[in-house]
Amino acid sequence: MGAILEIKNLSKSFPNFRLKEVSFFLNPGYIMGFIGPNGAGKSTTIKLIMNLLRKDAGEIKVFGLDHLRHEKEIKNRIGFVYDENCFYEELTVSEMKNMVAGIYKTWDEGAFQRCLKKFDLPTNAKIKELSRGMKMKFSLAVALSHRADLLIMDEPTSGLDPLVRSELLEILAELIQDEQKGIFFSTHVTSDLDKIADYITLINDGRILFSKPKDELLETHALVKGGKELLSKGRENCIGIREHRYGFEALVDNRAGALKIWGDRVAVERPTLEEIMLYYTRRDNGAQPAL
Amino acid sequence: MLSLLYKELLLIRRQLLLGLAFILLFIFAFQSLEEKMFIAAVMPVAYLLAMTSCACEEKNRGDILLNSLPLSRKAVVLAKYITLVLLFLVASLFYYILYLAINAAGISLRAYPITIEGLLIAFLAVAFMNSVYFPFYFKLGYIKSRMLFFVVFLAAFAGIAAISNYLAAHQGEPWVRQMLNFFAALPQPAAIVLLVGFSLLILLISYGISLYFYTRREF
Repeated sequence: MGAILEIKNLSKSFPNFRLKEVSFFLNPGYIMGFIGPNGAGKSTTIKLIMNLLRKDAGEIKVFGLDHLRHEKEIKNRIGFVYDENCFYEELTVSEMKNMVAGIYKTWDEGAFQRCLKKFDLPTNAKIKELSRGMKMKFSLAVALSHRADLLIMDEPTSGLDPLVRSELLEILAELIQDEQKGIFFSTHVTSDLDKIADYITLINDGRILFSKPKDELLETHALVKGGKELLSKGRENCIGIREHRYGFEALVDNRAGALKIWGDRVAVERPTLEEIMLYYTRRDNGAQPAL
Repeated sequence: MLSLLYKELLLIRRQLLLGLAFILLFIFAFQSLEEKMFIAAVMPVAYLLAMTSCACEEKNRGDILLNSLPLSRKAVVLAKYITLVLLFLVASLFYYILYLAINAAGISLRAYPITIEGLLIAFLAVAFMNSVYFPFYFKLGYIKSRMLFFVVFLAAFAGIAAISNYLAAHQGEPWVRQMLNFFAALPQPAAIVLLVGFSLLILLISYGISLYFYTRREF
């Protein structure tokens, strides 16, 4: 089966920001974490996929179809959860459901009712009366009730308490079990992705720095700690370096290579996704740009 | 489309009641207008309700939702124009209910019946006002276009008054006489077709411009 989401050389210019030839793909059955600092281009990329922004150049294919020529067909199979509520605040849960149910071709009322029960959503409450977590759950209920094959989520966990975040992650992990669906999940809270993501795509300043399987990323990268004097060689192998009074800490993308250079004179640790993101995107990372 | 119209009416359900109150207020205020009372009462209410619908859309970031759903932008724009026609019919129905109630109550307040001419002229006025405003709304959104909304609103009233005064003052001029005679001589069915056709033409042109802007808009 081909990619569920494929982006090639996607570009978009604004007066103060430019998305530069973004390319990556997501296969069905996987969760891709789309990470990067605020303002890196995550929401812009998602808006371009959803055709809320018009691309300047490049190609976006969803389910193998051009996202503009087959827009309605594609959107019938996409579920979306945005960082902020986009449902009509004055409508009740039930009224809002009635509206969207009439728009999706494959609306499954039974699935929606099951979601309401599972998420404990009150049907008669107005959207504006729901907490942030409940609003996110409502978005998710809508996304799960029209048999979406691709879930696009833009910072869905921002502002949520740990319990709701954990519930969301469990639901996503469950959803992906049938290996037909894909989830594209943008966030700057990388701890969410430690648990569920299969692939990580890092964007910074409008440019993709890497798009790799999470396990490969964590296995090949290493956090190296040692005395400052060791930096006389090997600096060029570091993605980023932090120097302090007693020594240095650096991220390398070749664990074996680092051991070859410094041997057992350095401590080598497995980095977290957050540390990887920070070292790649820090402006004063003390190393030659790796990419 | 039905889902969009359902949403439009739900969003402004409270304002619809306010519209009823405004029509009653205008019936009080426009006693001297006699049969033109209907036009003067329904025209601003239909326009204000359409504006409220636009404001609700912006307040709820509705464009983000609508353009993330499997809907064409054509459908989104068309729904606004159909909503306008619905709001005009609702405002007319409100007037008719108040007309019946006031006359049944036997009070000194007078409410004049709805005439075919009144209905069509009011529709033409509402169609014209919104046809001017909607393209700006679809290009700029409600917040950036709301000043224009009020400009159109005031200009419509000032324009109607100015045209009436001009025609009254120049009744003797041949072209004015010819035009008035032309309309007076028109059989009613022809007048209806002319007014409805003209209203629809204005709406159609406006819809085309709105669609052009909206398909190019970014959110």
